[in-house]
Amino acid sequence: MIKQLQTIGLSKEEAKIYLAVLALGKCNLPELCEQSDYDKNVVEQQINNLKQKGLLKIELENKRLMFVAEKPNKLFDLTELKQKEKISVMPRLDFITKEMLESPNVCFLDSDKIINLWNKEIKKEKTNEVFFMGRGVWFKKLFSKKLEGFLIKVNFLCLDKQDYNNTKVNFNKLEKRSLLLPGFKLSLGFLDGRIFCFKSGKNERSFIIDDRVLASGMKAVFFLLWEQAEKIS
Amino acid sequence: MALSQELLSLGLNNKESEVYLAALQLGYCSVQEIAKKANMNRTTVYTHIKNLISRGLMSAVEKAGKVFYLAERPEKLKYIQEQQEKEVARRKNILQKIMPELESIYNVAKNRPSVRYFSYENPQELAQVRKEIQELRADEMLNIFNYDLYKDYIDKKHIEKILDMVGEFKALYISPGKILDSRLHDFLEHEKFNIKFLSETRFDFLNEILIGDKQVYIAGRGDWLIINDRLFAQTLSLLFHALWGIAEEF
Repeated sequence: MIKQLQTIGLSKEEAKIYLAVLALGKCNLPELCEQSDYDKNVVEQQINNLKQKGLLKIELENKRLMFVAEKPNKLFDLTELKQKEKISVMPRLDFITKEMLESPNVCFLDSDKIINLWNKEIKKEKTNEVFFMGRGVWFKKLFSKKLEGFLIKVNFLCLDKQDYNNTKVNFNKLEKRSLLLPGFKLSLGFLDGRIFCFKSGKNERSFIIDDRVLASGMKAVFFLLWEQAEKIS
Repeated sequence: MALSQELLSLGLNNKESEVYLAALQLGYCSVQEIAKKANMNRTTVYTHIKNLISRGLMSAVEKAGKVFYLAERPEKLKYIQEQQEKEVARRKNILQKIMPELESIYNVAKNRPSVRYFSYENPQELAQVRKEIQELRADEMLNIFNYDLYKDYIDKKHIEKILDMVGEFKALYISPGKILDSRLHDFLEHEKFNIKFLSETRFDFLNEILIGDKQVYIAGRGDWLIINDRLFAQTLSLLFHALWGIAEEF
């Protein structure tokens, strides 16, 4: 697909970013960086190019820039070889992204990407203690032996009896407790001001909420339930 | 179509057109002659000649160590235009082939969970979000709020409107002491209104969260973060009910 888009006049980077925006629907800059595997500077430049080509829209939502792909049939306009007026969005983008760092953000990701990011965050931050609640299936995916050296303790609150067997993993620094909440399908991990929300279903997109205050509040929910939960060996 | 317009339609800019037309009139000529005829400096003319050569509209010939230029015959424009039309047709053909796949990616994205941001310190945006909440018509609306942080936003009319539209309203009231704000006393008798207390010392929660249907409204530090995701709303709803079991009656 990227090669085909290149043949109609998009660069490789533009094609990758365009497909990422198309797949994400409305998205923000961090989300686009994660989805496309490019850093912020590259993504900003390509957004600028795609906007000039009329392939995406930029919307302002409460001081946040959101990017929305135009319908794919807009690509036909590119074949007409029109000279487009150059409109730079970069100064506004730079201004807004500084504020975005301080504001809550939500970033939707594919399962593979969110697992990579989870591992990367744990290794980068050398997080002392991790809090995780939800499904054993996700627990198994997220806590590989490789992470043991980076964590002092893992607190796992198992909420689903059906996949309890998946929690029987060989992970040294683990404390498990069980509190059954039937119907609990999402799994939540808390890491340094971020809430990782893991979804299991096909075509379901996991997401990260980047908000220190909410993460702290959700940890408070975790602790309250932890007190009620039963310790399991 | 006038020649100058035809040149522009081929993607040439004004200066390139002028250089081409000057060369066409001069015939076999040097860059200095073109520069004089087109009334441009030599360096600029060089740049445009380079572009015109790459488009097949001019050619260069070296003679006795000196380079001379020749504009291609105007009929060549027709050939170039035909080539460009073929290229457009080829690109359209490629696009037609990949369009169904692109459309399917686009349609999946349209249905994905969404996130919106509002400011509750902006009266207009606060009113807009409240109106949306009042119109949710959820079977059950769940609310967690830190009384000290959000007491200024208690609005009896807003609560009345919510109660008109929802099946049941449950609120977890987080405060240091078990004292219910007097503005909420009137609602205690309402059949749809349920409120319980959680001590702030036990439960340090600094946001306000409202869950209705598949929407989650999260207020904190001046912002509303609105997440439209059925599974996330369902998850928070389950956590709410677990906390409800722990919370105390007023």
